[in-house]
Amino acid sequence: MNRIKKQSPLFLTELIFSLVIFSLCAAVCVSLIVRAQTISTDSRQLSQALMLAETVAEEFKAEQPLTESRDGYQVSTQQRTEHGVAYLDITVSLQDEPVYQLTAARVEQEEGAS
Amino acid sequence: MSGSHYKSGMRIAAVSLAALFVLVAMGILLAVTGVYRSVTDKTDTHFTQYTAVSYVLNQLRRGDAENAFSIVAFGDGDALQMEEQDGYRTLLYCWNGSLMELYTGNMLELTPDAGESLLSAQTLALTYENNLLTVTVTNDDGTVSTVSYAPRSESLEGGGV
Repeated sequence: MNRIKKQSPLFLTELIFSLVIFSLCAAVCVSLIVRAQTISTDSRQLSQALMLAETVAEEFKAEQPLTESRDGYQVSTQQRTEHGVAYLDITVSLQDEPVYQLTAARVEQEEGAS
Repeated sequence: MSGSHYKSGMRIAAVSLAALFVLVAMGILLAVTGVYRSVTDKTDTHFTQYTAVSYVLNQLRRGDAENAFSIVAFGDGDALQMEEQDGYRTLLYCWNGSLMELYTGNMLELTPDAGESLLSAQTLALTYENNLLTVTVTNDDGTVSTVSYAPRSESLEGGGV
């Protein structure tokens, strides 16, 4: 009887200990998976923003109207000219959060030049 | 008698804990599997969505020279034709759900299935207006990826097609 009484709590303690260890390992694995998902989402948003910024830069180069938004991304631009070179600072944002920034440059043709 | 009750009580507790362990393990396994599947699906979609337009864009940058590009009808729709050296040309087009590349001599008239499949993509649409070439790729899942390119050479045969 004493042997049973001594063995059962030991078995329970072992089970509880296993559960605690398992929970710790599971928590680490779940956090890693969630982090992977976050990185994947960030990567996708960065790629989309990059494509959009590149498109706007090419439109600027071709002197065409600039895209202002696409797929939920907003584009804000600021143009300046220094020493005959026109610069366009492009910021692509998602929900008012900047995702990607790019500066495009274009040599301005002087008036009268062919 | 009390020893028997104690023994059965401990057995129930042990079995309950073991069952809880199995349930928690299964639950976590299912949850993690779902999240992992979601991550890989998104990564795959992301890859096919942007790799196709990136590839076409990089080919445009690589071969940007005067009269080097033209938009022609080949395969399932538009095709980007790039003149290479020594009478050869590269064609990028969609055929049977794939983005294809065909490197061939100018004199040869090959069929679209002669090309090499690069990626899965439903359609490739090319437009050239006001010195801006717009590449639009429709992927398998219906998502559309668009990118524009202003050719530095400022000449594109068949522009505005």
